[in-house]
Amino acid sequence: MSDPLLQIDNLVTRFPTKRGQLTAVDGVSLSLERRETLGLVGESGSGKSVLGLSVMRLVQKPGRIDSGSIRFDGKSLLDIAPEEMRRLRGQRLAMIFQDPTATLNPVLTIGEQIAEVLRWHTPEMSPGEMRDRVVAMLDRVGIPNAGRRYGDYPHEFSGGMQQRVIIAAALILNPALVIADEPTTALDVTVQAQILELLRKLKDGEPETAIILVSHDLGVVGEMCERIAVMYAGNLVEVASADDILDDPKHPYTVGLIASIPRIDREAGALQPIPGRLADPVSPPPGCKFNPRCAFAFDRCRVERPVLKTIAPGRQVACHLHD
Amino acid sequence: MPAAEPVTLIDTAEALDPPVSAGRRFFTELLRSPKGLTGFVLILFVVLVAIFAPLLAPHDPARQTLSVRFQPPAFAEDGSWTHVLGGDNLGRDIFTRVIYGSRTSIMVALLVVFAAMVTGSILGAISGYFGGLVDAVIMRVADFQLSFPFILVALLLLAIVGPGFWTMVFALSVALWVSFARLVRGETLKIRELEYIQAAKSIGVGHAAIIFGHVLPNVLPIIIVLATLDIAAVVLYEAAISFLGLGTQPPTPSWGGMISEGRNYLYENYWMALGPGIAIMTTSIAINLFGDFLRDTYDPRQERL
Repeated sequence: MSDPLLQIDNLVTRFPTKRGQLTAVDGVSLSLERRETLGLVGESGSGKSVLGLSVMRLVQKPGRIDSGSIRFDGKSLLDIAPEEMRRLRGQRLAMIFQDPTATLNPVLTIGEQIAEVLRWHTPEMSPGEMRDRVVAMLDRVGIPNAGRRYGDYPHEFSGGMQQRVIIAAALILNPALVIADEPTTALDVTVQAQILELLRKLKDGEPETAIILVSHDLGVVGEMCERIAVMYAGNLVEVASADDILDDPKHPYTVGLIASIPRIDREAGALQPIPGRLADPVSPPPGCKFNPRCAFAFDRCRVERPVLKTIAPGRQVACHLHD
Repeated sequence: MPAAEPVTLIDTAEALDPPVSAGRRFFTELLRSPKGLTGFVLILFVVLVAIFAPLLAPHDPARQTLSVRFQPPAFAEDGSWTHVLGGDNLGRDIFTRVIYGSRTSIMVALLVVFAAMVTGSILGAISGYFGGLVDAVIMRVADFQLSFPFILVALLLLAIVGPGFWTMVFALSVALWVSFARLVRGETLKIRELEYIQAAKSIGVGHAAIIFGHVLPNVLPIIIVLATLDIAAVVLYEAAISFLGLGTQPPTPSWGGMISEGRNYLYENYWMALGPGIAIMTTSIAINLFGDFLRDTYDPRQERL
């Protein structure tokens, strides 16, 4: 158990565009322990979803993983055959997507869609057993009347219920790692809380499962996760425990993110947006990608790109201010 | 694994709403739809006529009787009830020939559309799903074929292989697969980018299962509509080919062939084309109505309560 569950090293994922190579994930290194819940935070376009898809090896063409390595459960994911990768998906590795309505196939019943995981990974199971197992799982994720709703189509469910169905499909085989890509973004706030609560409950019930929770909402992540990784323009800029990040952020970008969370104990007018826009991923600014938006930038920031350094046990920051 | 409570819950729930078998659901839905029912009954009628043709026909379809030549139908002046739809230019009973003709027309239409639908849909889905070289090859073959009028392709094949029933079926299938392939490919291109395909991959579903289990079911309603339109068209294509002498060989009757023969006498003896004309019209309307019903019923995206 000394090996981390997931070890990403120097991962680079690029998309060719007319203007040149778009680097969505730019040399990310990250590790995740078994049972850990890691929050991956960043604004839209920072590359957090692509990082998640890279681990699943599901980056859509023409995008491709250019270099780096991903070790999962002792296997090098970028070197194994597509067939072996396919067997890992759904069984050891699973993903929950952002928009539940789009994630379910409209012409298949939800029962069939969950049972598909079993058909592919445990074909020795009889159809009756599969059905029982799916119904039990639906019940576990809080679908009332699970047995009766097995044959219902996705459009007969609300968004929150659809997301529960997707969670059921992702977790039915107790995968070692679940990548939840903004699982609550498309849902309204009360349902959001229920889904997060459900994820937490399932995680506690199955201690083997580790979760990477991708989100742009530091509040959501702070509540759910033990550790948080902050991503900016394809780079990790800060990785630390949730408490450290929220109470004592080191990177100016993290500071900015926290200042922009609405809080009930502060005046509404005090909300601080981060000035400027996300760095252009095709031709990023030289030096630190955040330097044009950073209030603390100095000369070195404009020429030399900072690397992720350990500044205290369990804390990593990529910023010249903390060298 | 999770405990026993859900099981009791299921039992009560299913007792309230027992699962309905597919066949039973089909008939409940059919009885509720006047459109579907009309189509279904008419198709059933035509199929039964085709099957029991020898029992239903009053005469021999090939027998020529001089006195029956150009005899008007029963409802016209000088008509007689022994030859309800009259006689043709060779003195054969038209009613008998319409009954026997259903065999050829229905067989050809069903076989051709089925073959074209299956091959076209699969090739189109493969083409759209994988893209790249496979797509390029399949679509260039389709384009090449589309650049000739379809009747020319069919005639070319018939001329090479020689006329006959199976050659005609083959030739028409080859001519028709392209429309299915292009339709399905277009839809597949759209569907393969959707999140639920990505999601299916994320749970470890293989390519073939994604094509057959996720992509094609979503295209099926459109395929059915195209197929029903094509069935009606094939009845006419068969007529065209038979008219050119390369399809059904005389004296075997086919509706298309009968209309073609009747065309020459349309002004004086309109009834030669009337019987087979009504038969073709009835069949194609019936198939279209039934196709609409199938689409409405089996496309879960359509609201049904």
